[in-house]
Amino acid sequence: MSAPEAPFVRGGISRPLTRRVVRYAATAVVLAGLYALAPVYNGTFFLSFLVDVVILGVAALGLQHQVGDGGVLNLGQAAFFGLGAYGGVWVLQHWHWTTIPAFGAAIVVALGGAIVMAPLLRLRGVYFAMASFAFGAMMFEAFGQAVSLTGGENGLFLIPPPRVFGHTLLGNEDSYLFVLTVAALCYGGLALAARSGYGLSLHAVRQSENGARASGVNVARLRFFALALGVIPPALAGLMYAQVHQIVQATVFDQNQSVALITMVIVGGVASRWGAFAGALVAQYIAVYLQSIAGYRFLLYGVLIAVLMIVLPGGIASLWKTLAGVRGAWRRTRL
Amino acid sequence: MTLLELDEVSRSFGRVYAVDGVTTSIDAGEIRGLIGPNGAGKTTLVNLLSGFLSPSHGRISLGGLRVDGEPAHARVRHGIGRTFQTPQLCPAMSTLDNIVIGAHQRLVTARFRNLASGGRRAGLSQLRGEAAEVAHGVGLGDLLDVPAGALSYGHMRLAEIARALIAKPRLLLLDEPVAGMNENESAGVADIVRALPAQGTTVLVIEHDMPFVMGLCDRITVLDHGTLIAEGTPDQVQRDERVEEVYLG
Repeated sequence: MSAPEAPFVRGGISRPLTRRVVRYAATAVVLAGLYALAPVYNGTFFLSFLVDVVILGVAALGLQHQVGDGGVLNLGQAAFFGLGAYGGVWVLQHWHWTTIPAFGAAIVVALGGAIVMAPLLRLRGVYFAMASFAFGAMMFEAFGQAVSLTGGENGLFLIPPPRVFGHTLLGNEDSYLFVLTVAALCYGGLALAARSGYGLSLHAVRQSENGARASGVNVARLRFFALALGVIPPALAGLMYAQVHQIVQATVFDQNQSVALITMVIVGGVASRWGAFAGALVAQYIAVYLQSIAGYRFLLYGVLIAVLMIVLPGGIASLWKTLAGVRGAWRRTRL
Repeated sequence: MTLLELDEVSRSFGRVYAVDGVTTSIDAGEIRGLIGPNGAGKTTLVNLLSGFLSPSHGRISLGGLRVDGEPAHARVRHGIGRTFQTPQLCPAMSTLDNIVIGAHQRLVTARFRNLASGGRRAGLSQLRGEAAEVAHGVGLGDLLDVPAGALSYGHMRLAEIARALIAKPRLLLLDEPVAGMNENESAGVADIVRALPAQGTTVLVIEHDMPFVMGLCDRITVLDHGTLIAEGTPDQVQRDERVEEVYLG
């Protein structure tokens, strides 16, 4: 076995350098553009709408990691959204912690939930999806019953606004900058994880579980890591939601929310991290701006998913690629 | 020195014994053939050795250590590598990354060690370099960037062998490595396998291609209906009456 001279090493996950630089630059430009929206729309309803979009997008981002990277179809993600909210609010109200340490508490509580959910990972495919849905329903019931912790049906009030590094964040411009920063950090963290050896192993398990097992991958442990890593963003999102709105009620964390989150992931594109935010934008637009048909929201989600599955299976994130393909095909037919 | 020992290993599915009381041992540095008609229990035996199935009875030990209770991923740590009859690669991943997955055990530790030293990506790129070397060794040097799903069948088998080899296994289990290959290709695989004992890898190979098995293996084990009916050098096995009976009816 002779060693090759300086092999040009490149994997399926790491891209060539130039494309990577272009991608980083594009990401930076988009992010700067998003930050620039804050002063422009300060005080408007639109910016408050965007705050909710970003918060829901962060929750969906965690689900995207579970489903898209880990193949763990979790239909109870709203439970972790709630666990983060209640865990964080508890330390805010009882121990007067500030937001960043409270994030830590939210993560710990959500990870506790992930450990409780872990045995369900023995189930696969649609069976896991069903069980996780039941887990979400169970947690919602618990949120409603544990009155001393969650305020029960009435919810928790007088939640302090976000406070970081000695600054209290009031008004929707501050809130927007805050949630956007947390979203960017979660996005970057998950992007790094997906490109590490851990991410490579996850892809291997999803594409060929037998091959991965034969290579020494502990599939059960890896699936748990995917679940656990994916409950961190919704935990943060839960606390952000509670602090931005300064009120939290259990109905926010019901099964409808779990369905809404999986809708965001599918609409945005299961394989795409930014797709989670695109999906959140669409879902929240329907919920907020199409109030007149709000009662039919989930019907619309269902139609949306069905139509996308046919015309755009890769979700919104694959729009460019699909359009380019369509244009190419059109050109070929004209020649 | 004995590397692998099987003591009365059986596996039943319902009332059918796919492997029935097999007792044998493989010496370190040996290339052992495993033959038998379809349904003889060869693949089941490989699944038992690699931990994809656990035996109903009996014990399996590797280098004196009992491994039959261990799950598949732990057996890789003990030094058992395998390939599959139908290649089990990750189709959308590059050939190179498919091979890197074989070094998963070191990938995990490299990640944490490098995390501590700050150079997080070093582990992965270092293993990619190593995987490229192994790929060159099996003749896949020009196909590193190709998605594994786009490889030809023969190249897929080679990629599987490379994926197993990067973990430097003590025992490599090959399930029909040359099925569907032409003579040149199978001769190439024979050369790769022949070089393995010198690198510390013992081989157990299932194959229907008799010239390939007879020319390659030091000893051959013959299974029929889950039981071991003959064992010995290629010459001994070829002259065995029961083997002749099984193969010619």
